[in-house]
Formats: sequence, structure tokens, C-alpha cells
Amino acid sequence: MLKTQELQLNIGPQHPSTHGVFRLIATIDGETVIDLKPVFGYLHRNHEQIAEVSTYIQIMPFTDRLDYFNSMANNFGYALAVEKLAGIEVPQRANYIRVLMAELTRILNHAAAIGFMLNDMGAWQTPLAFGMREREKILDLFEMASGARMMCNYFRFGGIWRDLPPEFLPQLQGLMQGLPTFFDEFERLLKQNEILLGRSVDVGILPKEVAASYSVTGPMLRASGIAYDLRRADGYSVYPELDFDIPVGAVGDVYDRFLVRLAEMRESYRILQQVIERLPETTGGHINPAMASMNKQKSLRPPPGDAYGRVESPKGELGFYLVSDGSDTPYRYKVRAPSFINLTPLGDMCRGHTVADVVVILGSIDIVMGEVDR
Amino acid sequence: MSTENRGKTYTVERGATKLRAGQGLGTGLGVVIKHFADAFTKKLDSPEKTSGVFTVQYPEERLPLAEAYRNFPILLYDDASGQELCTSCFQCQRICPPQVIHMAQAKDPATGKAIPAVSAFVIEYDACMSCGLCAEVCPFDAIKMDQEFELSTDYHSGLTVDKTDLNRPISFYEKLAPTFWGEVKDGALKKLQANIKRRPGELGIAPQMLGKVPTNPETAPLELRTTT
Amino acid sequence: MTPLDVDQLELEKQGILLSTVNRFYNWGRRSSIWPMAFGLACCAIEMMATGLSRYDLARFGAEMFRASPRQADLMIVAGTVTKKMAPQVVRLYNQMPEPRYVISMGNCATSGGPFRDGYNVLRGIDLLVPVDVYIPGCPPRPEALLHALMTLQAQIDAQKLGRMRWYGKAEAHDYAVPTFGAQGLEIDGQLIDPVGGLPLLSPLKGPNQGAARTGLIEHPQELRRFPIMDESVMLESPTQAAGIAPEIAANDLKRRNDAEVPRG
Ligand code: SF4
Ligand code: SF4
Ligand code: SF4
Repeated sequence: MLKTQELQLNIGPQHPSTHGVFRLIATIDGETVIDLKPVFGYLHRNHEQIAEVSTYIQIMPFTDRLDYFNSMANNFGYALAVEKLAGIEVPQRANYIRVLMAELTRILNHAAAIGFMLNDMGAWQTPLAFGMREREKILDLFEMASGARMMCNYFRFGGIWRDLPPEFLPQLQGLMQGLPTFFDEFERLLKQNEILLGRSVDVGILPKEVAASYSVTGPMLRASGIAYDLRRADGYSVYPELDFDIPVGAVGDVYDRFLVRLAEMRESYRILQQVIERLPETTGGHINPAMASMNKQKSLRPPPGDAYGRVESPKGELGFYLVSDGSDTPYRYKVRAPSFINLTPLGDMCRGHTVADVVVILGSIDIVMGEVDR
Repeated sequence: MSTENRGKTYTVERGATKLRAGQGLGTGLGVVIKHFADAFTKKLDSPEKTSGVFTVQYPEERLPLAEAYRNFPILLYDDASGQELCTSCFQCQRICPPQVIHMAQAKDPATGKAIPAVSAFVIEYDACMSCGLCAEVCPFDAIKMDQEFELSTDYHSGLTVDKTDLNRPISFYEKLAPTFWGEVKDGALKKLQANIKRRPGELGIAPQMLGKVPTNPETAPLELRTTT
Repeated sequence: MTPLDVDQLELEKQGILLSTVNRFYNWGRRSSIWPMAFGLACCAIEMMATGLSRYDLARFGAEMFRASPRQADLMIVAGTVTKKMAPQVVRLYNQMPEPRYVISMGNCATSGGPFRDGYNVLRGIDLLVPVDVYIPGCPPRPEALLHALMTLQAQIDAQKLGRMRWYGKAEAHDYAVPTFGAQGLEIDGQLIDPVGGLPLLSPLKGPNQGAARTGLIEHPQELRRFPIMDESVMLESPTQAAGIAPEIAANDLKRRNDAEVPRG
């Protein structure tokens, strides 16, 4: 046996894989990773500190910038937390529109996440271009409804900013016609691809027990075989009324995460179909009349107490913990960021694999640094 | 409704993980080649299509912007009377999350009392987060979101924009967002009428309209103050 | 003499040949600006969207996102530069070969943006490296990035072969890499971005603003001022005008007083 020397390899913070500024200190033996130490904080933007000096409604646009792929899902979680804290009811129509936006976000996020993962495998930009094409179409819808492509700031306590404009639903139906073709094509392009199989099958296995003990959530956890989905487990908003399945993986490797994301896009599509069908008959306005004016929103002073609002964001369980002291700013504000918690088992997953696999495994977690560092 | 009886859990189909050489490459390339061929014949211009040319030839060809689209805030003034809608109530300044709005209230030179007009108004475009909360909170509908995005410049300080550059006539905004303005138009103009009565001399007139409209609206005939 | 006259004079001095060479040279450079793949935060996503099918940066010859600064001409600072990342940004800039350009994409890169009140956010990348084009927006639309690229191309078109700083005898300087001090980022022991307080104004200006970019250390010491920050306005009330910090201070004070109410 040849005696080899261990080597410390520093990856990042500026590195070509497209996951933001993130540094890894890998201890390698030849090509094999024996230890991995992540270093973050390169995008620490003081989100929680700023939130504690902002009024409740002022925090809403900041939550957009947490996980900047899914501003709608972030808004959703934060709005739920504040509504719980202040005891605000949400009308049915607002709830359906919220779910509509959250599911569009999920499709958008998974399409881009798969594209970025393939980027890391060396398929530079081609699969990403497919995913981002659908993303652009969905962003058009977001812009139409909320006024911005990425930073929507669409949710308000007790509802949403404005009702959908009249041209929204026809365009959404157009998108819905195109989506199955996109899913099929995306699957044909990628699913039985030798390179993808070679790079992902049995790479970065995360066993059930390990995943649960790290409290991993989202597609990562489901790929490991645990069917835990907050939309089902918690049943917030109108999800209990909707019919959808939970895809889980069998092995828990990178390939399963990829498949679970593909399947989840199809499930989101099913939810969207049901939402569109029911939307015309929904009752209640787009916002609770008691909270409809901006004056109410901005002078919201929830009673002293605390609340935890959580949603199944495309990345996992996104939770907002708020402590109110009765003033107009939260006394404590904490984000349970799924990206951050899903990132913690990275070292375990990478051990024993090659350096090139580290990037792929990182890509399969689907992290966004804005949320990891906050 | 119970949550259990809805939907089920299923395991994703892994398919064959060992393939004949070239099989996946073939199907994958098939998709890519199809899109490549479509790029010569089709145009992807509506959301139900999934292939064809998707590119927007930006400087020559522009995507239509949604009415709701917002980029940076602007201030409105009345076309006919040149009076600004803003009364310096500080609501937008208070709500702005990154605190980029700064203003000073106008004072009556004779009495020294504050009047509902703004004497200085600065927005730092280089720190605004385009959240639109200021436009939403303004009780006088004086601050609205513009859709101009071609603002790149080599002059950093030029991104601190003052009142003269922020002012736009109501007709400009009306063209930008007809439904949004239609919803608030009557209320906004009525409030403006009330405020004009309390603005002596040329206070409250947009700087670019000075000299073009009669000053001293205290005595100006009412028809001059309404938009047509 | 107006700048136009100066240009005319210059043209006559150089002769037709050099001006043709100039144009050709600038055309070559402006049509193949290779940016560095350098995403920091949300704006980077819009930068990628610009590179992909809908906006297609390749139409401007700028689609070659290089992973290595050695191969790049343009650094698009897309996103929030934190104090932890700032030294790396300067190092990357120093590693880029001349001619090099910087686009500050989005409000975070330009001034710290929405997060500028935070203790860990650098208030403007232009405090550290000279910026050629600023794009305001949060995030700027992909079209806005294309517009910025066209602005940069116009700037390149105006450059003269005889006056390029990277030819001739001028010595190349590296920009100073900031270090962490007790109160914020420091260059050479002097504070350049304090935690809290008012934002500083950059001493580094793009060549179009009339500054020769020497790369020598320059310290931003000037506070940014607004016309309404004059004493009389500031004295009126704490909520009126004044920068950011007093606001937050006032808010904190209010909270502390309110907090006498027992917390739940
Ligand atoms: S713009 Fe509107 S909210 Fe702001 S000070 Fe003027 S009137 Fe008040
Ligand atoms: S859009 Fe938001 S950040 Fe910009 S000035 Fe208005 S309130 Fe402030
Ligand atoms: S300017 Fe806005 S979009 Fe860009 S990085 Fe900063 S917060 Fe994100």
C-alpha cells in the first residue's frame, strides 16, 4: 500500500458551481474526501437583526430576499406566522391564490434546482436553459400579479396584496397546457442519461435515520424515504382540501433527489389544476376586510406572545418564529431556514466520495446562500 | 376535512440504472435537436408553447411590462395646476423598510407654520428595494411606482434623486397604470383640491411647472386646478 | 474649450489612421466582453437569467462567463457584498488582467441596498474598486443588465488608444485588500466602512467621471449628504430627514421605553 499524504483543499468562496458564496475545506486523500468542513457567513445580511428593528409589514419585503428563488413561499411562511400571532383570519379566495402562487414557486424552484445540479455535473447551462425557460414564463405571471419578477412582496397579513388581474388566469391556463410537455421533455432529456446516472446513482446516500437525526426536510428527506410533507402533516391553508401524492425515494442518493423533484413538479401541477378549477367559486375577497387597509397592516401590534408559522417551501420546512412584546416590532424573529439545516449532513454524505462528487452532492441539496446565511 | 384520506405516498420509479451505451445520449440529443430545429421555424411567444425562439431582441424589441410592474417610486403632480400631490405627511418615509426616503415639510414664509406641501424630497434609488410599500401607504396617492428600468449610469451620486427628477405629471402615471390610477383618481384629486387651498404662493408647485402655471393658488380660479 | 473641441483636437493630432485603428480596436473589445461568473446573491439569479435563452447575453458577445478572473474582462458584482466577502472581491479584481471593467449590479453592490443598515454589509463595492457602470434596481431586470452592458460598450467606444492606462509606462497597482478592524473594514488602518453611522462616499470614480484610476489607496472620508440634511431640518424632529442611523437610534429608544410594559 502506497503511503499517501492528506491534503487540505479549499473550495470557494468564489467557485464556478452556481450556489453562491460558500467555502468548503476538504481534507482529501488522493481523490477521496475524508473530511469536509463548510465555512459560511459570506452572505450574512443581518436579516434577523434588521427584522427586529422593523415593523411587521416592513419585514415582508425582506423575507423575499431570504431564499430568492421562492419569494412567494417565504412570504407565505411569514404571513402565516404573523397571522397566528395576531389571530387574523384569511378568506378562502386569498388562501387559494396563496396556494396557487406557492405551487408555481415549487415548479419554478425545482426546474431551476435540477438545472443547477446538472450544471454542477458539467452539463453547462443546457438543462438549465430548459428549466429557466419555464421559470421565465412563471415569472411573467408573478410580475402580472405582484409587480415584480423575483421580489414579489405579494402577501399581506390576512390575504394578499391585490386580487389576480383579469389576464392572469388565461395566461396561467396557457402555461398549464405547456407544462406537461415540459415535464416529459425534461424527463426524456435527463432521466435516462448515462452521465447523470453515472454521476448520481449511489452518490451521496443519506440514509433515513441520518436524515431524520439531522432534521433534514423537504425533497432531501423524501428522497431518503420518509414521507414527511408539511402540506400533509400540518395541513396549513387549504392543502387539506386538495388532492396530491407524496413521492418518496427508495435509496436516498442524488438520483433519488432528482427524481423526487421531477415527481413533485408533477404533483404541483395536479394541485394547480384543482386550484384553477375551484378558484372561480371561492368566497371571500383577496384579503380579510379587517386588514384590508395599509394603515391596519402597518400599525399591527400583535398581543404579547410567540408564534411559529411554517410552510413546506420547495426546499423544506421553512419556519418563522416570532416573539411579540406588544409593540409594533417583533421582540425576536428567527428563521428556520431549510437550506441551512439540509446543508448540515453534507460532510456525512461526501465522505468517501471524490472531490468532483462533492459539488454534485452540494447541488443536489439545492441550497440558496441567502437563506443559509440570512 | 381529514388530511389522511387525501392522496397517497408512492416511491419514485428509478428505472434501469444501467443502460446500453448511447441510449440516453440518443434520447437526450433527440430533445435538443428538436429544439434546435424548431428554433428556425417557430417562435415561442405564448405560454403554452414549449419550443421555438424564445429570445427577446432587447434593445429593438421589448417585452410588454405588466401594469403592476414596479421599479422605483416617483412623485406625481397635477398636469393643469402643476400642484404636487404630496403633502409631506411622512407616511412613506416611516414605512420604507431600508429608510431611503427623506423629506422636509414646506413652511409658510409669512407665519412659519407647516403647510401640506413638501419642500425637499429625496429618494436614494441606489438603496431602494422596490417593495412598493410607499406607494401603497400614501394616503394622498402622491407617490407611485415607475416602470423605468434603464437607469444604469456611471455616476453613483446621480442615483440620489431629488424632487425635480422624481416629479411626473399624473397623465404619465395614468398611461402607465390606467386601472390602478382609475381606482384612486377621484379621491386623490379631491384631497388635492383641499390641500391646494392651504398652500400659499408657489409652494407646492412642481419645480418644472413654475412659471408655466399661475402661482398663488389661493386666489387662482378653481377650473385651473382640475385635470382635464 | 468644450469636451467636443478637445476630442476634435485630439483627433486631428492623432490623424485619420490612428482614429480608424482606435475604432477597430474598440469595436473588438466591446464585442467580446467576457464576464466573470461571480454571483453573490439574488441579483446573480437575474444575471444568469440574462445569460440564458430569453435575454441571451450572447447577442452582445458577453456570454462567456469565465470561472477564473484571469480570463475575464468584466466583473459583474451581482449581489450583496458582505464584509466577510469584500477582501475576496478585491482580490479577484486584482487578479483580473487589464483592461478590466466593473459593473455594480443591483442596489446591494452599489450601496449596500436594503441591507445597508446591517453590521455585516459593505456599503458600496465602489469603496474598494472603481466601478464603471451602476445598475440601480432590486434586482434589476435582465433588460437593465443588458442596458448596462450597452452603457459600458459606449464607454469603451469613447476610449482612446493613446490614452489607455494599461499601455505605456504607468505602473500597475493592486487595489488594497481591506482588513477587519475594531469598528469595521479598514484599509491601511483607516476605517472605510464603519458599522452603523452614515454611508460614505466613494473616492474611486470611473474614468468617465474624470478620474484616472491609479489603484493607489484612497480613503473615502466624505459622508454622503442630502440637501435636506441641513441643521435646521435635522433639529425639527428626529423622524424628519437625517440619515439612517439616528432613525434606528430613535426607534430603539422608543422600544426601550415601550418595553417597560412587561413582555409576554
Ligand atoms: S408621498 Fe404620500 S405618503 Fe409620502 S409624504 Fe407625500 S403624501 Fe405622505
Ligand atoms: S419602494 Fe420600498 S424601498 Fe423603495 S422607496 Fe418605496 S418603500 Fe422605500
Ligand atoms: S439588490 Fe436586491 S436583489 Fe440584488 S442582491 Fe441586493 S437584495 Fe438581492
